[in-house]
Amino acid sequence: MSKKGIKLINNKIRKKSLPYVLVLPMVVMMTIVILYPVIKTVGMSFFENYLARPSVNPFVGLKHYLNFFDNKYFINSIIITIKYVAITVLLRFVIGLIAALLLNENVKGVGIVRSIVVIPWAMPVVVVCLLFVQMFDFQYGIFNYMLTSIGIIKEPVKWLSDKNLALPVAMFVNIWKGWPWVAIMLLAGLQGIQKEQYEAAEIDGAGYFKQFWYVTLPTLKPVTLTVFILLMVWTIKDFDIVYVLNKGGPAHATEHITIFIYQKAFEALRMGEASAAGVLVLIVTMIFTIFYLRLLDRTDNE
Amino acid sequence: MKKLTLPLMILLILVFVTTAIAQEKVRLTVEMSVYVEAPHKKAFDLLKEAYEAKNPHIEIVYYGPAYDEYWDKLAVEIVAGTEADIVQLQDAAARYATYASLREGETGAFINLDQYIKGTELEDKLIGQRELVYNGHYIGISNYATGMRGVYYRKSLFEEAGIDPDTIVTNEDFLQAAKTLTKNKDDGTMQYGFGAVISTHAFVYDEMKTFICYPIGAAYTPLNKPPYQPDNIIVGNEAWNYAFKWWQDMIFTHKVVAPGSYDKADERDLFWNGVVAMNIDGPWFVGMTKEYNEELLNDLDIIASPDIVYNGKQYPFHKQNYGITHLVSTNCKNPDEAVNFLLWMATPEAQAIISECGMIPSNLDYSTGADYYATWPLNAKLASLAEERYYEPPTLDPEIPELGEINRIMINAAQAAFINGDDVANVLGDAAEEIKALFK
Repeated sequence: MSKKGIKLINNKIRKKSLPYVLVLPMVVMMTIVILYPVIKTVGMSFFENYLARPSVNPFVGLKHYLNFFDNKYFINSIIITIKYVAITVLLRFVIGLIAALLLNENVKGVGIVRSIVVIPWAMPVVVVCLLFVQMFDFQYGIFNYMLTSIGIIKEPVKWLSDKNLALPVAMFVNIWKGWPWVAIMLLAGLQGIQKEQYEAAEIDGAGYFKQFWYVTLPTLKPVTLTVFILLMVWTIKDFDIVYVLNKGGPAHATEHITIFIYQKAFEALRMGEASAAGVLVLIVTMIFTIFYLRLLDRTDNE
Repeated sequence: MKKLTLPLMILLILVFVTTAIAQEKVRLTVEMSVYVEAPHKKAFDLLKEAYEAKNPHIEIVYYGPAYDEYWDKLAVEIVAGTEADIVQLQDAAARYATYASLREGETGAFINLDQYIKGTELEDKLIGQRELVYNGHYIGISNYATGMRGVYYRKSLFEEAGIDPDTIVTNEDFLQAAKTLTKNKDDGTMQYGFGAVISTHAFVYDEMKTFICYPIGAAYTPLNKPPYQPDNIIVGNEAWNYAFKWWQDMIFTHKVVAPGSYDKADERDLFWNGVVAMNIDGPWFVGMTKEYNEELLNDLDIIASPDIVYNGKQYPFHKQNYGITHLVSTNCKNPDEAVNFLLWMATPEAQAIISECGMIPSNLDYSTGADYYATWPLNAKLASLAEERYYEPPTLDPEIPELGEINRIMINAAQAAFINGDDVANVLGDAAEEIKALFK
């Protein structure tokens, strides 16, 4: 083969291999920090893995998975997680949408308001939770002070240590912290809608609500779905808010699935059971993630 | 360039010399949960300063989160092999088995200290030392400080209510005093009899357990001794029901407990601010009060934890030591140096420094001396009350790896009873079933 031919082949190989070389560091990194831990966790879920007895680690097959059906605290944590996800995702979305519509108006000072709105989302979650712990304090908290001062409540309320209020309080903090992100995402979507669409709707006699229903919502659909799915995935694996506020208590009242896993792993030292529960959460979030990726694909094609 | 050669050479030599000096130093890391508390931080900093001055080749580094976060972090570190050279554990032997068992070997995650302690005077001189055993070997040194619980009260509030502290002998006397002290104050705020943690914090169970459960024999198994088998679990028996119900009535029926205390820090704040009149605490509380406001010490006094009247009999409070103890990790690169430091902490010289933390230093030679009694009269009073009234040997938590899980079950049970107000019999019945399941 001539030198020119060899050079041509070399160039072709180089061109073809270049993308692989470029993504190689990322693939290696992902393998180390994501793939390996996931495989290890799946493997651990089939063994006893009781850390307090490190010398005995029998293979138990699906035992941990099957035991969950009889475990009332696991079922309780699933119910709490479903409530937590459903309510916080919905309310964050509704509040975020209303805020986005308001922020989309062309009025003076809206830029400053947009910047201020982002603050709750930009604050570190642990800091936010610790502030709320202080604000919800029974003796010295500002909520009790304000509500008793204006006569809404007669006596201070045990916001964090009442079994009926602990979960709503955790939801409230989650919503307060999370709606700005929804607002900003939807605002970006709103700004992509052509003015001509509204003008055409107006000519057809559509009022504000009809414009919103027939123009705004359908056009926002791709962004809306993306926001919904990401919120679902993030909230299913939410840990910090419920942990910092109440550690899953009182008496399991805020025991989100992630708290259940944490307590199994680090308090009970039963890594096998914790891994099995972790794998179940992974499967659920994977379903949402696959759905999200397909949606992105479809949106790109459209 | 030539001009730069000499300064560069000097710089290079300096770097080599400082590196060599730095490398000569032996670094001992110590992790603990009390370093975030002002009186303990002060004492540990002084210990470091004194020991490093005497041993210039040693560098001591402290770290660790607060009590509530400490235990899970420590478990993870031991499993990962990243724990400090010296690890601090509290509550005597109770937690030893849980953490030692995380690593294989006769003495688990910590080194065998028999050669330094067994047969020496330290066995008797250091309060609680004999309890620091795992698989028959000493793995810890009770070299810092110790203390049993008593009831601290505000003298002015007692005087105002006309209560003679000496008349509080039993839990019923205690309840009566708490009722008298609970009232609406002139400024419209409430004053409560005493403070207790009523939250998701572990103390929601711990305080009640030592106050009332262990004195009347409410333990996990009889006296918390083996065998640990499902048939042997006694949680949920008559004594447990009595203890839980009595505490629950204090909160919900008599309403003498200040509501909303998340942790012990809240409870102490309420005491210092005059919202609660009595606080069940240990001698460390004296040091904390001194740090908070030294003048408050004039209004502070102590009585013994009351006896419990149960089924017509009177049971004394169990003398729990709550010693702050230290263990050397099997991963420690300089175990001899670590042990030397720990043994030095038990000497009178170091114990004098430790007394600054407000607890009772664990070496009896020092803590029963006239100097110590003169400087810390309230601690001396507690020690003599304990000697006179408390029962020994105390019921200790079982030395088994499952203790962490059992505690979690009981903390949840306590939350259900003392926060939710759930039926005590049901709560304890469920807890008993869960504990039995652990041993099946």
